[in-house]
Amino acid sequence: MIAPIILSLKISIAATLIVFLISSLLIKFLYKSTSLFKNIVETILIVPMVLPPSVVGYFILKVLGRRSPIGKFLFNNFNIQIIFSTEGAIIAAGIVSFPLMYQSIKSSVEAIDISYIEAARTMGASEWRIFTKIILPLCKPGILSGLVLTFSRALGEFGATLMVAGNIPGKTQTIPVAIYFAVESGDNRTANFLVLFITTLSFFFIYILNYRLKK
Amino acid sequence: MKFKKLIYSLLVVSLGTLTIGCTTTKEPAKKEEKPVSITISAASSLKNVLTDAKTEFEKQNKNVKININFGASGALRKQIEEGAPVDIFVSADSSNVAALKDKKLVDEDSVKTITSNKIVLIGSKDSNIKIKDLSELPNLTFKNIAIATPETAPAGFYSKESLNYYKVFDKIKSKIVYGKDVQTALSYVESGNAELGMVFYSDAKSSKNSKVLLEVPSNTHSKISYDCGIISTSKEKDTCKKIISFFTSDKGQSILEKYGFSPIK
Repeated sequence: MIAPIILSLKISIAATLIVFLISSLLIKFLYKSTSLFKNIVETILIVPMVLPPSVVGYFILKVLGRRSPIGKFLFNNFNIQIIFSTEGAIIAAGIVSFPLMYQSIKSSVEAIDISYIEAARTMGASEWRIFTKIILPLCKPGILSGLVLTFSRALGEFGATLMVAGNIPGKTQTIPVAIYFAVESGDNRTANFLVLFITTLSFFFIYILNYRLKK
Repeated sequence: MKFKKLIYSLLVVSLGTLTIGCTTTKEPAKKEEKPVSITISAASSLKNVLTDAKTEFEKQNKNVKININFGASGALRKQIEEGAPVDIFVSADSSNVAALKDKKLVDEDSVKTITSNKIVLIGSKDSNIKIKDLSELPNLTFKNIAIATPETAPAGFYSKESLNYYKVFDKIKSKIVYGKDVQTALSYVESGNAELGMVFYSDAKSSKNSKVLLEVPSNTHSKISYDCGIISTSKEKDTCKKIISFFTSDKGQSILEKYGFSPIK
């Protein structure tokens, strides 16, 4: 019963960190752009939030599956298989939770008054100093809520994860997957325990998000 | 004018149906003609064969409409326990039907064994894995082996029993990916994402993208028998009995055999 919890935490933390890095980089590079390219990239990255997880899972299977060019390449050259692996679960959770991180950070970056930055620049502050002393503190609430939301969403990810990573106890059997199979097989004890755990944790996160971070 | 026409035609139509209604009720009631709708909950390994058998049965009995709900036997049993409106339950084992019989949810005298099956080890169609018996599994190089969830799907239960018989289950545990039913396990192998899988022979036979690598001896797992029974709340028990005797008839058995099931003697 503990194994799915540890695994879920690992997968969610990994997904959150990767998504945080990618979002930050993308926002940095796309921030000033107003091109069609930017709009299309953004839409592609946000759309998994509204797509059914089964569709996301299907795309990942088609792109990274063993019969796909990428899947074949990874397997033949590096003996890596994404499908039915912990990495697969991280990718699924990351793609589905990405929009939450991206939107949170982006809206806080866009809310920064550009005159602060210009003022700092006229007074001779280095770009690094501007970043650490102005941009980062102003974005902190957005970053924190992005982290919390992404982590919670990754923790709860079920559909795409099951399709991509399958159900391997100790390797890809996350809390939601374990709950699904426990209920199917009538194992109420495991189901109740995991349901209680994930509900409490999610409640705690959303509480923190709403009443602590946003103050 | 148009409106008047419409009213007239409506009148004519309704009168017409009324008279038709009258004449049919006056005629000596032919019981057979009453449309009957039957819901069967069936093990997912029966998907292809039952779809075929259903068409055949409906051809012979024009008034019967059969709906089939496929799933893992254990999951279907749970649905019935929760009160799902089902008439016939066909399981890929005998214990799920027996459990419902004990709870008086299945009529005791209706339980029949309709067919049997074999467990096979399969690989994707281009697989070059060579294996003589399951004890060699830990020495083979592969990333994943797909089986159905043993707790809900009988195919998985038998597979696990056989793996335990050869004492290899614990050694390959971290490579086993569990499909929710046997069809899912098969699809994992067909897509190439799992190199190996353990499914029923009938599943392997229906699949073009996988091939049988090894037939698992039947003495390494408990007896495979597909049992069925009539749910006690069914209102159409006569039709249910007819369907079950169709399964056990020569015609029914030959359909089952065509799909790779082993006949019952």
